Amino acid sequence: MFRAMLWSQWRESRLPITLLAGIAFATPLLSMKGMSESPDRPWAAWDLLGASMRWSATYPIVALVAALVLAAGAWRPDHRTKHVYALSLPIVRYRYLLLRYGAGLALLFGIGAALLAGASLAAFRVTIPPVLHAYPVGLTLRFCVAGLFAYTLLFALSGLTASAARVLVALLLLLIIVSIAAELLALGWHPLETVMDTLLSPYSPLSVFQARWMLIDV
Amino acid sequence: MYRRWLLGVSLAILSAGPLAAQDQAAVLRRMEAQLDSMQRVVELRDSMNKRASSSDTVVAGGLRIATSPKFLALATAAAEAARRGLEARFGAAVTARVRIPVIQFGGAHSPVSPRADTSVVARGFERMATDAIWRQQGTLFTGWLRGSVPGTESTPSDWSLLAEELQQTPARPNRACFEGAPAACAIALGLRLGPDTLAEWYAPDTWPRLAKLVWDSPPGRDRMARQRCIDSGDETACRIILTPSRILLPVNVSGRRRLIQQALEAGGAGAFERLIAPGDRRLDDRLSDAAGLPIDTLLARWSAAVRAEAPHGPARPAWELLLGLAWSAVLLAAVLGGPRWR
Repeated sequence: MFRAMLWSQWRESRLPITLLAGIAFATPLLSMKGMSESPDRPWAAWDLLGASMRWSATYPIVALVAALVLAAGAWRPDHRTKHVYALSLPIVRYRYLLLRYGAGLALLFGIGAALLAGASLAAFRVTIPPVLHAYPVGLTLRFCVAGLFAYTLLFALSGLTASAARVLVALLLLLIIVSIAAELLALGWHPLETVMDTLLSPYSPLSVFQARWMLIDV
Repeated sequence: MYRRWLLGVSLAILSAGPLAAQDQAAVLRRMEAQLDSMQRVVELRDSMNKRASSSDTVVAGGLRIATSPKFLALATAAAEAARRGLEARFGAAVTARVRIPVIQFGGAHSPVSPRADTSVVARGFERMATDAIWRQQGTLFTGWLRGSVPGTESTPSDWSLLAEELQQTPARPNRACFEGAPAACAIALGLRLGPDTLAEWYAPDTWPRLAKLVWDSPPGRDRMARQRCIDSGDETACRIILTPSRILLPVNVSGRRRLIQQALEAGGAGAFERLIAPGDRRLDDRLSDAAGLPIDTLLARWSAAVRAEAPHGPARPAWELLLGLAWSAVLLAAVLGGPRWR
């Protein structure tokens, strides 16, 4: 059954997945373009770190887009058929969801594998000065974990029931209204700001996106 | 008023005779002194204006906050917290002695709420006072810090950036400094430099690229020298353009700020007073006195702090990745435990 799920998910989003895998493979190679000269150049570390830094924002964006595409693709067939297929299967709900989730995850890790291949090749092609290190595996790990979290979150949001979605939107609106009211009444209290600070704090789930996504680093 | 003063000073200098016949350094010193006194007049006027436009003044140590009755409670609490912070860092004697300009806070049209967080307002007061205190210590510190002043606190990411900089910038002493050699750190931080700063910091084969980093359009002769340095690596041309004030520092000014902070933290009570004590002493001696440690020990600590926060690749720290996994597991459990399809 997992293979059938995987196949249906692949069919649903094969074009964007292929594109994203291509981008994940090409990004490290592009970032190291023109860097394969002599390692004893005094500016080699400067150039390599600069190039790594310039391209570092690309990886979390690819992870996020991949998660979005896969989470939407995981639920699209069921939403289209109003869950008739899922309800006709002789399995419990959580198992069915786990299979759907797993299929998306397998494809996400496929994109991660493309990144690992591209990053390893890019690191192999450049000569790294002794003060620096290449981190193709570390970069892929961070990519997979960030993608996994974003995928799980978006998978959960896509699968919300209509009433749960309404409650979520209402809570968001309430937060915005309370923030505006607090601002107008000069209460010195900023709930929206507090929520944003919490979301970007080191212990928030989004912290995984904030680190240094460097293929070459010290 | 400022313009009139400036015009007056310029006319006085020009009417004093041909500039070439004078000792230019003396003229410059005189101008500097006149500009300093002008600046003091401007500061005094601003302080008086601020005091006149507010109806209440809060005094806490050397801090004077001009505020309105609406903000009095907040300003008093924040000024007291700021005073405590300043005294902890600079000592009570220094805080009371220095001339801190009146801080204007919370006028009639202020966007700040009277219920704002006291600690945030206190930090603002403390920053302004800190800036004023450092700027009154002459050019020894601000010159070394290229016009900036030491900050209040440093985060691990500041140290992490320094680690990256030490490895990235192709300066001669950087690698040894990163590995913990105090002598190399002293050179990299500009504490112990001989007459040939350029050669001490950078090997000649890096000079053409350094010249590219100087700036895009230096004036006349310098522009030609820059081009010659970039094109042919001509040593004379490179030396014209790569002066110590223009060149890329082996370690950014933030590294120098962290060293001062470390010295003050290590020295504890009275450290700031020892740092600024009168006398014609070198900066490294002052830092050593302030910290109560030999300068090499202080530099070794600085280097160790840099190494401790050096980045170790995107998979570190591992707990960040584990946290991501844990949050994913929690979310997945919530989805799987849901009761209905739609």
